Amino acid sequence: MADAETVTVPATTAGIQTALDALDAFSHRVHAPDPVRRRMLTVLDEVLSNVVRHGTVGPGSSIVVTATPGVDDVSVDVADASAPFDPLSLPPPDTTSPLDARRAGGLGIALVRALADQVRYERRDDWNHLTMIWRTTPDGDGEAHAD
Amino acid sequence: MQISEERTAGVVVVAVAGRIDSTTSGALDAHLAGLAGAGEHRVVVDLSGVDYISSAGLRVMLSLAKRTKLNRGALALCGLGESVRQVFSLAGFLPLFTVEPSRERAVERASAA
Repeated sequence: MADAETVTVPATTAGIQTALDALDAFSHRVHAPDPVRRRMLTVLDEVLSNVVRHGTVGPGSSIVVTATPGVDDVSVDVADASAPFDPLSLPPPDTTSPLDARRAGGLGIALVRALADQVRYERRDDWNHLTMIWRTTPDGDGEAHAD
Repeated sequence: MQISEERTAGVVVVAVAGRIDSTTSGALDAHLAGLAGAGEHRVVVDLSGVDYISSAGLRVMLSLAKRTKLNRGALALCGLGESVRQVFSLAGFLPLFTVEPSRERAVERASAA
């Protein structure tokens, strides 16, 4: 089994790019199914851009992303030292208004919830940790395949 | 992310490839706003080369739809792969867009509307 991989990136767009590239390479290395790889990258972009936009840490601060392969799953932990904030406490987004009234706010966290098989928030040693888990077995592929 | 363009039947077809996420959405938004600024309001966006789209990309698509409506233009999407379609569906975006299976059909819809 491949080892866990940790990347530490600045809380900037360039930092997000670096972390996404690292997770992309990691998911290939652990042979994550392609739909899982795409969901992992989508979710990581949501979580990191959320920290960069709403975190109280400046661009000089770091975000630590750790990807850990399991027997039949992969977990990704995103840690930042901003003020305590549980993104899972945010209200659900508007997904039903007609075009003119539609707002895109809150969609990111809704996608995190929907695209990860498990997600949990923890405040540990003055750091926020958001941990997502994806099953990598065929059953955990999780997408409805159209016939 | 790569963006390429082709014009046919009075419609500009914008083909996007790669990631549409928080690191690339600004460039895509600027590109699409530039078309509107140049008076091109009949647009097809071909997403067949897209690896994934996150909410930053959805925001760009929502602005494009609103702008197109304001300008009385026409917009159709095509080439939604499974993961892109899933994200559109989760966000409740499918009813907001004309989505066609092929580029040809999307061009027909955008040129006729």
